[in-house]
Amino acid sequence: MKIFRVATLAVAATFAVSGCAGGDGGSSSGAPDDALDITFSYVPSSFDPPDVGDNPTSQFLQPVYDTLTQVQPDGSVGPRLATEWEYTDDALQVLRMTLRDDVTFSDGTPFDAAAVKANIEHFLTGTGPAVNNVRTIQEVVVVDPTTVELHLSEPNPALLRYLALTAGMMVSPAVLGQESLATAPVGSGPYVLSTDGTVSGSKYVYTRNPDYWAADSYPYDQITLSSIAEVTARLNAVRTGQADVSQITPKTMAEAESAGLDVTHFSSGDIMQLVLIDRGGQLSPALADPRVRQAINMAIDRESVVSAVYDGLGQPTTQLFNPSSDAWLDELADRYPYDPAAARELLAEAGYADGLTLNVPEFTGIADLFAIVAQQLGEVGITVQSTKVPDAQANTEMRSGKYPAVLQQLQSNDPWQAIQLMVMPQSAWNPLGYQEPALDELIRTAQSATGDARATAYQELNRYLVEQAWSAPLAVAETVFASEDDVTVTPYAYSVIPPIEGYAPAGS
Amino acid sequence: MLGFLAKRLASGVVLVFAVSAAAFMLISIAGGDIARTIVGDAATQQQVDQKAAELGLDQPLLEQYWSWLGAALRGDFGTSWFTNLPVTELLLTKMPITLSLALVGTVVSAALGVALGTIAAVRRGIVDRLLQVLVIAGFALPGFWLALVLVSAFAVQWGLLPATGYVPFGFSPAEWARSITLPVAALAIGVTGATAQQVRSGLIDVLRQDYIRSLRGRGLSNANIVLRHGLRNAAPSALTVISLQFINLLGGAVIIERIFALPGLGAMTLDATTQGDVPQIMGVVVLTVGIVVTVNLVIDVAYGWLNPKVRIR
Repeated sequence: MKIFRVATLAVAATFAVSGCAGGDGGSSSGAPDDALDITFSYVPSSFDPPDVGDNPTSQFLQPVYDTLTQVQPDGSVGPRLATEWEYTDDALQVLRMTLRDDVTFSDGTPFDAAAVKANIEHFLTGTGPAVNNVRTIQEVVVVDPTTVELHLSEPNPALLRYLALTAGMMVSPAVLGQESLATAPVGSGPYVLSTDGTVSGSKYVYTRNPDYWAADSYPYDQITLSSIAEVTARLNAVRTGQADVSQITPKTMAEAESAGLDVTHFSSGDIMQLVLIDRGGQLSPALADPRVRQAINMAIDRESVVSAVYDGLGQPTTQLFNPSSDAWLDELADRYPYDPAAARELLAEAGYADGLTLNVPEFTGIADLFAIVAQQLGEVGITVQSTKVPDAQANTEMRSGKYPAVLQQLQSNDPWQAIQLMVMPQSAWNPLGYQEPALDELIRTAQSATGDARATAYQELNRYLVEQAWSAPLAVAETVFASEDDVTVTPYAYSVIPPIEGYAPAGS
Repeated sequence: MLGFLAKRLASGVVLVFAVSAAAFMLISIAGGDIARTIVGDAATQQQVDQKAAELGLDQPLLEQYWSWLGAALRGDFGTSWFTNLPVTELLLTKMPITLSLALVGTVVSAALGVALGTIAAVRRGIVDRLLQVLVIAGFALPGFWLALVLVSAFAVQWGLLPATGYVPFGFSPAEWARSITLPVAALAIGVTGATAQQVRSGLIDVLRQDYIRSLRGRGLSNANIVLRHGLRNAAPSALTVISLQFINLLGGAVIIERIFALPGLGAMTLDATTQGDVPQIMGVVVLTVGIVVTVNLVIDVAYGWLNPKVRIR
C-alpha cells in the first residue's frame, strides 16, 4: 500500500539524515574552552534571594549577584562588596561595614549603603529557609554612601558568613519587590543571566558581565548551569562531553572513575541523624531520659550506615558540628561505640527493659537508611513505627512537632549556624521548643564570646550536647563531582557545593 | 462525515471536562500543607495563611475548581505555585518535546509493526515464529532498561548520538532528529510488537477470505493482493492498536524524558505531581486529554476513509 511505502521511506530517510549529521561521532554541543557547563539535580525556584535557601540552590543566583562578604576555601570570610568591617560595641551588636564605591548594577543603578539597606530590609520580609538566620538584624543604618551599620538585637556569631550567602546578595534596588525579580535577576555580579539559551526549570546560561569590577578573577566567559534530575543522565552528560562537571552520588562514583573521569569528593557538612526531637518527653516519655537517648546512640552501627547508604563515602560521627569547625572535638568521636548490649543495659536501667515504641516519619529519600535504623533499634527493644509521608511534604511534616524523632540530613557548617538550626528553643529542627537552663547558659556564652574564647565555648556546648545525647548523629555525608580533566573543582570548607569561584580550568 | 466529526468532537469536549474535574478532586484530596511547603520554613503562621488565601486553598473544593475552570475557559491556566512561571508558557515550551517523542514513536512503531506483521503473515513458517519471539521480547523488555542500554551503547560508548538534551526542530532539523533517535527507539521497540501482532492476525484472516482467492484467480500479483487489498482491509484494526499505542507512548515518555534529560511534559508532570503543584497538573491533564481526543479523532477519520463500510451515518 502506498502509504506504507511512503512511511518506510520517510523513516529510512530520517535515519539516514541523522546518520549523516552524526558524522563527527562526538557530542552535539562541545562547549568552547572559555565556557563552563555544570549539571546538578537542583532547580532554583526564584531569583529573589530571600526565597532561596543557602547552598545548594543558591548556586544559581551566585553568578549574577555580588555578596557583601565572600567565603574562602578554608571556610573563613573575606571582603567582597564590603572591604572592611568591625563591631563598634563590646556587646557585638553593631556591625559597621565599609563598602566599595566603584560598583554598579547591570541596570545602571549605583551600589551604595542605601542599596544595602533596601536589600537587607527586603530579605527580612522573606520566608525562605535562610531568613531565620539573620532575624537578629533589627535595623540597617546608612551612615554615608560607603558606610553602613547593622544593628542587631543580639549577637550573631555567624553573621559575617551569612552575608557571604543569600542574606548578603545585593539586588538592584530598582527591581526589589517586583514580580519580575523571580525570573529576571538584576545584580552586580560577574555574570548576567542570558535570555538566549536559558530555559526556565532546566538550563540557565550566564554570560560574562564585561564591566565587572573583578572580571580577571573569573576565567570563563560563559557558564551554563543545567538541572537534570536523573544521576545517570548527569553522568552520561559528562561522559559524552555535553557537560564539563556534574554532581553525582557516592553510588555512581565507581562508574565515573572507571569511565576515566576525574572524581572529586569532599565532606559536605550534611549530617545524617536521628533527630531526637522529644527531649522533653511530651510525645514519648522515654526520650526525656538521657540514658534512653544514649542507648539509641549506641544501638546504631554508624560504619554499616556509611557503607550501606553512602557506599563507604562518609564519616561516622557522634557530633552535630562540622568536622572542620571550631566546635569539633576528636575525642568525642568514640563516645558512643556500637554496643547493642550496653544499649540494652542502659534502657533497662532507665526502666525500659521491655522496650519502647517510636513513631518516625518515612519518605522515599531516606528509605534505605530507615530500614537499617529501624532494624538496629529493634534489636535493642526499640520498635520503630513508620509513618509514610510524601517526599515533597517531608520537611514540613518532620518539623511539625507531631513526631518524637525524625531521620534527616541537616546541614552543619559554621557552629552558630548549626546551633541556630537545631539547638535553640526557636530552632526549626527543635519544633517542640525544648530547652534547659544549662544549655541556654552555654549558648549565651558562645554567642557573646570572641576569638579563642568562642571556640572554647563551642566545644563546651558540643561536649554537653554529645554527653546529653541531644540527638543521634550518624554520619557526615560527602559531595561527589565527576568532571572532565580540563576542569578543576576546589572544595570549599562549609559549602555543600563550591561557589562559582571553585571551578577553574585545569592547570590555572 | 461532518455529523460524525461533530459528534466525536462534542464527546471529546465532555471528556476533557470530566477528566479535569476528576483530576482536580484527586489532587486536592491528597492533602498536605501546600501553602507552608511553598512559602518556606521561616514563615509565620500568618504568612502561611496569607499564602493559602492567595492561592484560594481556604475555599471549599468545588469553589476552587469553579474558579480554575472559569479562568481556564478564558485561556488562563494560572501560574505554577512552585516555579512562578505561567502554566500556558510552560505547556507550550514543553509540548513539542513530548509530542515529538510520541508522534515520531508512533509513526516509527506503526511503520515497523506493519512491515513485520505483513512479512509474518505472508511468509509464515520459521520467519513467522522468529518474528513472534522478537515481538514478545520487545513487549517484555522494560522501556527504561532499554533506554539505559541504548544510551550506554550508542551515546556513551560509541558517541554516535547525544546522551541528553533536546534540540528544537526549528533550531536544527538534523540535530532534532539526532536528539530524539534514542528516546524514540526506546519507546517504539516496546510497542511495535502489539502493532505487528495485530497486522499479522488481521492480514492472515483477510488473506483467507474467498474474495482474495477470486482476485488471485483474476491474475493479480501477490504483491498487489497483499499490499493493496489485504492491508487495506486489515488496516482498521491495526489503526485502533496504533491509536492506543500513541496513548501508551505519551505515558511512557515520562520515564524516558527523565533518562534522557528532555525537558518535556513528562518530566514536568512528575515534578508537579510530587510537589502538588495544582495549576501545572491541571494544565497538563487538560492538554493531554485534548491531545488524545484529537489523535483519536484523526484515527477515526482515517478509519472511515480507509473503509467506507465502517463510516457511521
